[in-house]
Amino acid sequence: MHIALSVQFGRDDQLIFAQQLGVEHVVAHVERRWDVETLTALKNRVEKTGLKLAGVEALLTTDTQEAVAAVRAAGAAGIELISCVAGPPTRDQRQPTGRGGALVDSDKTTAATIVPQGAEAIVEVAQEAGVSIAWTGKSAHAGGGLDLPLDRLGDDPAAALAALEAPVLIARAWNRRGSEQAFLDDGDTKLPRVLLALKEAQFTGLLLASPPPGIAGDSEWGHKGRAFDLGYLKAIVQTIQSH
Amino acid sequence: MEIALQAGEEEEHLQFIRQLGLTHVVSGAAAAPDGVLALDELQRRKAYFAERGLVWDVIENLPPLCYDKVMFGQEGRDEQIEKVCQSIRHMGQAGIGVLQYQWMLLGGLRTEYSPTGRGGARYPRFDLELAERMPAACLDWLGSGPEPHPYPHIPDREMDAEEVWANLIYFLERIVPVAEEAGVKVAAHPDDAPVPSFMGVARILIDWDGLQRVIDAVPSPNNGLGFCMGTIGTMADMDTVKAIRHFGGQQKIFFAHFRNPRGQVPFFDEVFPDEGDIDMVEAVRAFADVDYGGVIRIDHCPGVIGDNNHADRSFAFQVGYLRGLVQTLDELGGA
Repeated sequence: MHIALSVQFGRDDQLIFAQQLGVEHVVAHVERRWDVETLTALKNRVEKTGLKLAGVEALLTTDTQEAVAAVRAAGAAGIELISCVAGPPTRDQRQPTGRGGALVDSDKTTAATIVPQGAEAIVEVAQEAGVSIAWTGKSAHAGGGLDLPLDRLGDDPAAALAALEAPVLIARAWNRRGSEQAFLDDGDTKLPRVLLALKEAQFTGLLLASPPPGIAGDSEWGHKGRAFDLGYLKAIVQTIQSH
Repeated sequence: MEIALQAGEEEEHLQFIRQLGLTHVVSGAAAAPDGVLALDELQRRKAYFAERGLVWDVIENLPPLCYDKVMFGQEGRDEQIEKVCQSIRHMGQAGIGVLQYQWMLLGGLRTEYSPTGRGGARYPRFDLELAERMPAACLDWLGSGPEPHPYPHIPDREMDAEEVWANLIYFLERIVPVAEEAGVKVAAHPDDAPVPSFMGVARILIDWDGLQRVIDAVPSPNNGLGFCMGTIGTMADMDTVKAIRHFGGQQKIFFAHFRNPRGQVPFFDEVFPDEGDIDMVEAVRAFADVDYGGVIRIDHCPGVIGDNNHADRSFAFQVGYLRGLVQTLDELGGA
């Protein structure tokens, strides 16, 4: 599996940040401008940094034609993976009820898939264009694969993974305590156990942390929280790979 | 093993520390004008951290100006030792259990803060060849205090290893019994960088034998090591994991620094913990195997783009990394 960092479109400093913290793969968050020229420029900028653009997120339109055009543009730009999972809620929706007063949100606001009409048609176009589509939950029945929030795997992640009906393309590191967001190391899900199960399932996709809780004095994007998450995930992966 | 960060009394930084899930901090302590760590100040600071949900059990370090005359064997050393003993008694009364000190007569040595790390991250570097070309410029703390700065200073004579050892043993023979009575452990930090001498002044805690000798010089359950993984990892031909098992197995690690270097003297960089020469998985496993229950503080860190003066981004990465190692080894049944 490859640890990846979700970066904002156009924020080159985040590419350097990713590289410094030992990440080789990034997923760019693209909110608008799903055209060939823009996506090609994005890919070039990432690659000139020395990183791999492993995918783009979050294709959220409900318009089939718009989605098809975006997928074709991504394919023409040489982008191999699109996630259709919704981004995080804005920070002002969060409450300071996390560990140490960290800003957290409730579980129901995360990891929703916006399913365009005609998902099957989109998958068909994606296959022609050489692009994989990652959805959450039942949307993957339309084809493509899963962008899977890891807190959904329960206490027996190996069994849960074996029961999935679609391949996991993105493993989304996320944790919660009850219904509330938690730091990756501190929630109901034991991520070392989950990542060990992924390794044993020979998972070769992306391990991508969801946006972290809001930490004191952190940037809007959450540099401190993301650094903590990357260090945590790196240690787990190194340890289970040496096991 | 309790993961900690260095902290002062800045509220936002303490909140950051709690949010990372830490319950312990490490802090220095300034001596009063009379050269003693004042009891009321130690108690106040201890309570300050406690009110914020944090435990302060390690002083890092004993201010060198409290014992510089002892290190150099100068007149006035006995008066300094008496004040150090008084400081240790105050620590015991305040409930602070570990006093780290160092015996680097010229302080720490670095030659660069080099932007040659991954992604251009800045790595603290030591290069002996460069250091010998411009020695005074390598004294880490030179010029950082009031003028004229009494410590560290450019040496005015040569001192061999046995003279430096004699001064250290003179010190330990007098403070360790007091530490035993006070319930305080005194922890020697090794010489960083671990080179045998610099500017004609010996550095003694630079290898396996030196670490064992400081333990054996004054046998006591209260005399041991501040086990700096970074410094020990840069000692020539040192196996850090083996050292954790050896010294930790003697219950002589009282405090630890978590850091991973690349290279050993005469040339090394301080790099991110996941890319250095020490096998950190095995190191954490070794700490668990020797039942190390003390504080491990995340040590120096590479410079990361856009970081603040506390280097929160870089430290957050390292805290997450160490937490991940501990939890994963626990899951695997090895920690």
